[in-house]
Amino acid sequence: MSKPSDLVQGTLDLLILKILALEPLNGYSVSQRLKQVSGDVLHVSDGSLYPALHKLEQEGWIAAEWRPSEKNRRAKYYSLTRLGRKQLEKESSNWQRLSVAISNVVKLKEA
Amino acid sequence: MRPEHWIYTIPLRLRSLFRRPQVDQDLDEEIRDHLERRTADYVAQGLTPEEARYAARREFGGTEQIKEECRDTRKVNWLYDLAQDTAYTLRQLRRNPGFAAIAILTLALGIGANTAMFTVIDSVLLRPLPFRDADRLVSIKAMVVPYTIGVSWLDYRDIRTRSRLLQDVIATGGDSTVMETPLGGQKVDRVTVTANFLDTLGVHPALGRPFDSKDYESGAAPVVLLSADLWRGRFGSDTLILGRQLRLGGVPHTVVGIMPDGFRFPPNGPDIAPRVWLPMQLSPSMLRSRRDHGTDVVGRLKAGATPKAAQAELAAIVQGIRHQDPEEDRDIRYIVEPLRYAMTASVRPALLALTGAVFLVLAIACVNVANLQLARHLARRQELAMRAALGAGRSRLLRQLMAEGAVLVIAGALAGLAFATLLLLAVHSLPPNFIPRADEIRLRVPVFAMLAVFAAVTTILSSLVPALLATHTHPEEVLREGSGGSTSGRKRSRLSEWMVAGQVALSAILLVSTGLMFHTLYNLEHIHFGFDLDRVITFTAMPADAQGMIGFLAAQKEKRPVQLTESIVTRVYQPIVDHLRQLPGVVDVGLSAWAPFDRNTMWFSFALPGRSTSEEEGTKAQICIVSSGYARAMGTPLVEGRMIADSDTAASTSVAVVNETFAKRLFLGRNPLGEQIVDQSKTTYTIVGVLGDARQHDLTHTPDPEVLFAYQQVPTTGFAYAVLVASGTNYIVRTHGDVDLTNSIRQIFRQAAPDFAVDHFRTLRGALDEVTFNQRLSLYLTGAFAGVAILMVLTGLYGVLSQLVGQRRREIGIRMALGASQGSIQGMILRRASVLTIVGLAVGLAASLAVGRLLRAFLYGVKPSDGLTYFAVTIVLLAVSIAAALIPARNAAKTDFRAALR
Repeated sequence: MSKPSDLVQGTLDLLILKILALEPLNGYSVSQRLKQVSGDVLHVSDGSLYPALHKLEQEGWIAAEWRPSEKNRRAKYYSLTRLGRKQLEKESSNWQRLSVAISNVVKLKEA
Repeated sequence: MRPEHWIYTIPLRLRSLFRRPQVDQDLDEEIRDHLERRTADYVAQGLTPEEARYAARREFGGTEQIKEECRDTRKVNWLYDLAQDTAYTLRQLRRNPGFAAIAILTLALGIGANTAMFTVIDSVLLRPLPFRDADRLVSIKAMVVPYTIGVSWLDYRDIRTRSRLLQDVIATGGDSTVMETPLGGQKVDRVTVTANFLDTLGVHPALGRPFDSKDYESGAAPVVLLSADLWRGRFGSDTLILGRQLRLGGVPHTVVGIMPDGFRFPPNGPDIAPRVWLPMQLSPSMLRSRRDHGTDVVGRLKAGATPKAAQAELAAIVQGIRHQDPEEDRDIRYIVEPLRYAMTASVRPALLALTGAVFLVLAIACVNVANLQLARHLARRQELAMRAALGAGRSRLLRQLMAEGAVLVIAGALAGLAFATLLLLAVHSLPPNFIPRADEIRLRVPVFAMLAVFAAVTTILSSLVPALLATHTHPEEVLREGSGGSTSGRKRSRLSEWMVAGQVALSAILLVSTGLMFHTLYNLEHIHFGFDLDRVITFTAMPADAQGMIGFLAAQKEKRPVQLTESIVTRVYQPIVDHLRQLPGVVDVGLSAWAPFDRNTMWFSFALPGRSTSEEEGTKAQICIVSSGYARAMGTPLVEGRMIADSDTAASTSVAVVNETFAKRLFLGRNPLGEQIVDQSKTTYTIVGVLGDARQHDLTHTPDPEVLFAYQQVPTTGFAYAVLVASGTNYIVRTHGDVDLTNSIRQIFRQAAPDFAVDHFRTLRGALDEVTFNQRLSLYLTGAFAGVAILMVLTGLYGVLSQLVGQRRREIGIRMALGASQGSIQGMILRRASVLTIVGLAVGLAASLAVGRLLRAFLYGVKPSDGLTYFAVTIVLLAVSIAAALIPARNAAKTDFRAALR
């Protein structure tokens, strides 16, 4: 993927929070789900995904737990916290406002 | 919202901080899990396990970098980094103990001196006085320009009743007298106070009771409050003293209470004698005359009132009094100042000047440490470049170098605190009345806060610039460089050199101040005094019933019949003089009403007979009452006629001896011998001798006119006898060699006058030293600062020049190959040192001219632009620079130019 535009970079948090709102997932699954749901349009590079996940965890918006996986290993599953839910609402409404504003500008008819 | 946040994040952060390896391992595991899943995915899509793994890895990207980014999101990183940096710094410093020791010592000197200085300023100038609402207390002084006078009781009363801006007004009066204690006669400061005294200050006796209204009634039994240190020192903290009677000035007083520790009022009196407080009794003179200025007045402003407003109000009150009382025609001006300000006025200029000096020392120390760090960074530049190349961000490196600087400063601050404590101990060992509020000087919270500020400022000044420079280089450049030195390295050593020039400039300021003060002290000690300072001792003797001013006025009030008793001079003083003359080694003994260098003297107005002695027409002169041996004991030459003799008694004509200045002023060149003069009480004196001018009361003025009278001729009735003669006298004893006669003298008094308080033994030179103590202390302090500054300049110059030699090795090698002699190489280094010094000197001396103007108040007989001082400072600093340059120059000349060129 080419260098992500600033817009998408900032909204990565929003996307991750939303996906985790639906069900707890591990990092790999978040990446897959995002690809799936967006019809292959949104493809987050792993290089951006994991730092983003860790940042969200440090902020306390998502919480992690380790679940056992096959072969005696464990996997890290992230879920949304109550605080994260509030943050999600906030960022969602911000995004709504932003996208409406951009649409309005783009829809301007040329004279 | 917040607490929930913490429930999630705190355990996380604690874990990141304390279980780092574990957390890192979790990260590894998480990434590995991801890669495995992706690999499995690819396998499911049909790739071989090998290809799948390769594809997954390639898709992921730089694993290490991503892991690093994840680690960077941790919020506690700064804390972790700080701990790491500190540990690293400590390791580095332990490996270079020399560097660390010099840096920490330099910082300790600078920070410690500043901390001690600030402690003094905080305790003396800034802290409120220990009284209730102390910030609203003001001192009210009366002036009849240009003299400051006391306030008369009538004026005090009018101020108290008429002022609307002053809420409470108290008055105190005072003198010295002798108190009888189990250990003998003790001179005390006796302070009389008005009835609202204790309430206004918000102080109560620690033991016993305060004065009540009955104590103030006329004819009441005399009562007294003792100070805590008097009670402890002289009465052994005996609580049974309450209610007992003590003789004060010969009169029994009942002790009603002991004041708390450290209570001292009026606050700015000389603190040599212990204090007692009495109710102020009003004498007829106080109740009648506005010219009886016996009191000092202190008031408390109402909330919101300012001293200036109160001063204006008092001016209006003065006008009102003048209208009312036409006799009051003097132009009295009242000055209202915050009490704390008035109290510390004597010491404030010196403290502020010393603060300036101490800041200079800190600045020089910072420059030194900065230079040290610059040099160190230069030596470590390969290592720093490596770390930059490996990916450490510039800010990370900067943080680490600053951490190193901070560690040095913190260690220096702690050592400085210890140093400051020592300095404060030294301050506490100064004479007790030297600094007002000296016993309140203590380390307090504001001082520690200031210490932190000093540490922060010092870190920034000494570490920031070197750290910025060190992290500014491009790694490739540094890693590529050989021994030739990079351009940035040269820039850095240029900076070092100019910093040292700056140190020279700052030191020049300190050195000039020292030189000026040294010159001043020299002048003071070599004034033509008009008497001999060596081999003369002096002491005071006070009889147990010394009345002083207060006793005299009280006796007047009670209309006690004034007995025509035998004068204490014939009874006690003169016989002891004769006795002392018999002691081995004594040349002569004289009496004087004033102690040497005592500035509180008395002035009378004189005129020729038939003329008026009023203030405008008479000739004012200092008076002194002396005995026959005075002139010889002091070593003052007799210019004409004779000195007062033992034969001048009450029965013979009243005589006077005048000094040259008086003779010139009143007789305008005529010979005054045999002439008569009249004083304001209309007594006529015949002048029998003229004494050489002597400066024993005010060192720095030209001699004042003086008239000497004979002790034996003072009539026992009257003011002069009670206050100037019967209250005590000063003995002046001239000896052949340096003999200590203290014990013999005390023995004589024990036998002849056992109830006398005999103390304050000094040599005349010791008395002079007491007067010049101020200047001497300032000299020692600035001298010490200047010494420290020179040391720092020496090491700074040495360091910079050594560096220069190291950097220019190739250039030196070339020169030598081309035939330059060792001498010329040495000359090159010495020249560089001189250039730096001269530039620093030029700037420093110019700055000193400005600073010198500020110091003018402390100087005597010395101009701020004193040529001798500036010349001396130039020589000293040039010598220092040459000394610093010697070894680097020698090293430069010894360069093996073949090795240098390789």
